[in-house]
Amino acid sequence: MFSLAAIVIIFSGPGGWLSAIIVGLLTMLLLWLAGLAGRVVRTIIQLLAPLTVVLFLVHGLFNPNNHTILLELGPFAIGKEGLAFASLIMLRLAATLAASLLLVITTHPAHLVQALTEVGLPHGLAYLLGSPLLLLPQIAGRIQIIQAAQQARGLETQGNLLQRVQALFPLVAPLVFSSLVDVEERSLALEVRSFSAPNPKTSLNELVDTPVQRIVRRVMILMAGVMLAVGFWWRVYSGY
Amino acid sequence: MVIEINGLTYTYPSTYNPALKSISFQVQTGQLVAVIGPNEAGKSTLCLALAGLIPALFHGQMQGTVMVCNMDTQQHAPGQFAEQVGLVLQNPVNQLSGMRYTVYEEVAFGLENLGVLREEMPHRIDQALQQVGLADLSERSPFTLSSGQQQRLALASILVLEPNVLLLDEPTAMLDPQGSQDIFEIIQKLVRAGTTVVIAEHRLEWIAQYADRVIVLVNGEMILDGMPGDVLSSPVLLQAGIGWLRYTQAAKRGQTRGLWPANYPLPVTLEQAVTGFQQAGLISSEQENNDADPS
Amino acid sequence: MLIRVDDIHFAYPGGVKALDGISFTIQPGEKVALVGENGSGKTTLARHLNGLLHPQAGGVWIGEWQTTQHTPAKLARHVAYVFQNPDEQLFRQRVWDEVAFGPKNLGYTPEQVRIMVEQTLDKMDLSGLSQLNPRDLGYSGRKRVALASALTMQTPVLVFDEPTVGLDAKELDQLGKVITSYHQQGKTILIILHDMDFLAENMDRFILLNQGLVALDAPAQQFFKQKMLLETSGLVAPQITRLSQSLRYSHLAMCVDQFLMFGRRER
Repeated sequence: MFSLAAIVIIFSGPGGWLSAIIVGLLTMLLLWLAGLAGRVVRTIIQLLAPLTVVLFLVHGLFNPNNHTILLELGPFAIGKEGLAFASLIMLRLAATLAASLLLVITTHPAHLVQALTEVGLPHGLAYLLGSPLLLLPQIAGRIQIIQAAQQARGLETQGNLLQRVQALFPLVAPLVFSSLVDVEERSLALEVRSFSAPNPKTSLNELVDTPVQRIVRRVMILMAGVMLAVGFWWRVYSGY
Repeated sequence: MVIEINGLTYTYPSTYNPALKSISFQVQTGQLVAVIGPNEAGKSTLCLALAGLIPALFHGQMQGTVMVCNMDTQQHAPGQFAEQVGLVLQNPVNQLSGMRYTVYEEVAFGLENLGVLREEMPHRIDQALQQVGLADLSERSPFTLSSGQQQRLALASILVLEPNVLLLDEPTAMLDPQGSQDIFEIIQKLVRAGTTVVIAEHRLEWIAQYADRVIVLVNGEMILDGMPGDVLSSPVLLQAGIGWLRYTQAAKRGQTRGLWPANYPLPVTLEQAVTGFQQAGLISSEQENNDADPS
Repeated sequence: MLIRVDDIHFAYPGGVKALDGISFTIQPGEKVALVGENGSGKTTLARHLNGLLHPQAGGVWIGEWQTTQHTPAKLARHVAYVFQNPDEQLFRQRVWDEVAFGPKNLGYTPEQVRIMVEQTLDKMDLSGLSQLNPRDLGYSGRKRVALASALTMQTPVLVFDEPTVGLDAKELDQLGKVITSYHQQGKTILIILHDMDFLAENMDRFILLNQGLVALDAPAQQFFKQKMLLETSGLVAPQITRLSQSLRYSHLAMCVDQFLMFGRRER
């Protein structure tokens, strides 16, 4: 719940920078409490570093709103507005990523599915949302095997850019096909364990919903709603 | 009769040839029936039909009736069969729900789906884990198990539902000999305790020793149905591409050289082969300089 | 092409030591079976033979090429490796194109590729299916297409990982004949498998792995005499071998022909 609300706030908050930073910091706090901060920060940096560089370059140099020139490098001029724009985007992205990772890493997929079902989501949909989390390692393992199998047939995957692009299809197609075969088998196996029977399900473990969690949930939803409304009103009335 | 099939003919959607043609047979409670046949003969289709998944999930065209535990598979949803009929498939990993972090929870999955009361679960789960020998791995993640252990987990997840009929579609195809042995031993115990088992398999040696009955499917048709000794030594198996056990081959070819007694039935087990060959007076010749590969 | 494995060690990230000092040499033209329980290191070892994995100590040489010096794609010229699951490599719309993929990658001319593919399809009895989509075939059909794609690369060394899973007796028989035919061309063949009957009938030498070490490396005859070791390693000897052992043959038989040849009537 926190993550979803966080994402909403980030994008609709009026003070662009400010909301992103606040949410980002809050997320970091939660992550730090859960002992995951280091890992998440590293992941974020790894994923976003190249994009950050590109964005800063592109907007710094070519953003149409660039009026205030900060630096001149021969024919190229880096503008403040462009940099500001780029950094806003990156900040939002980073905060969003952090919030999403928070969701993914701390949630037990089974509990997620259970929670979603209790809230009223149809069983199959809940499974669809929750299951990829546990099955991801399996898919990752398979990608490695496919790559190995195709390399063993002489496919060069470590060459220049053209070679790598050509190698994409032989790597992706078997992934899709074998995953489909698996999904079919798995759905049979689930069916045999009465997965889609319409009767109400019971659960082995109790999902404890503490008052604290309930309050936090409600506050988050409220905040998200308020930010949405405020942001909308502010944009409309200031002709943004 | 716990299983009654009458004139079952089934064609998968968008195909012309029926996968099963006019299949009829009955199975008594507590029997261990093996179904053998070349690839694409219809063994898997038969298992799916017995589990009620055909026609419910597959549509296609079905004629005839399939009654399992007095329920007609065309009148009930698969979920209603779950407590009577269990189905174990070939690939251990694909039978994991992917939604549970421990072996214990994985076994509970089916019980949860059936709406079994929480209080009843621990007892049933413990029993199922005992039956397959996974009791001390109950807190492990299913994905860290070996394929043999995963297959036993799949079996436990089905056994926890306490079915009267257990169907297995080539359960040992992806396992090593030890893993296969474990599965077979569990099946043997279940049959002794009264479960009816129908198993599609390639491993003739085990079938010869433990099956009560062997059914042969070729091209969707049932061409043989009888005791292992008779079926596994029938020439029909050779024509159909199923093959014989080596013991049987050795005896048949030995017959022409007087190395197998003339009126002895052909062997399907090691013991039978040994007895027969000894009866014929076969001993090792002293040809130890036979280094050339004769085959 | 000589295969030399020199005291290799390998551990997966996460610490599991899969290979704990393995050494052996395979002469050109040998037919070797690699056996052992799941988890004994067989697949890990096989992946070292075409450079998919590099040893953390020791070295692997295929002929004069050391595997750490070349990409697996380059080593594919010398070693063809068939993986267990055909669905993890099939990607073309026609069987013909799928089988042609390997030789094309190796740089053969279109005319050469055509000849090689047709030859293999014929040997594997797949010619009639060459225009079909591999995905439309049943599992054993897809498996045989995957096998064909490797065989057609005409490499001096062939490595098969569980090639018989899913094949019925007729298809097994055909695979045996195909292996014999490639062997007669002088190819070196290594098979990882649990099916002892098939191995005994087709392979000459057996290497048993146990927890990352070579527990036994011997020609078939000596190998199957080690009953205790095989039993503790979770292996079951082939039917005919057990039969000849029970009948106290001095020379163990590996197939029905040998069984009948090594025996005679008492009287």
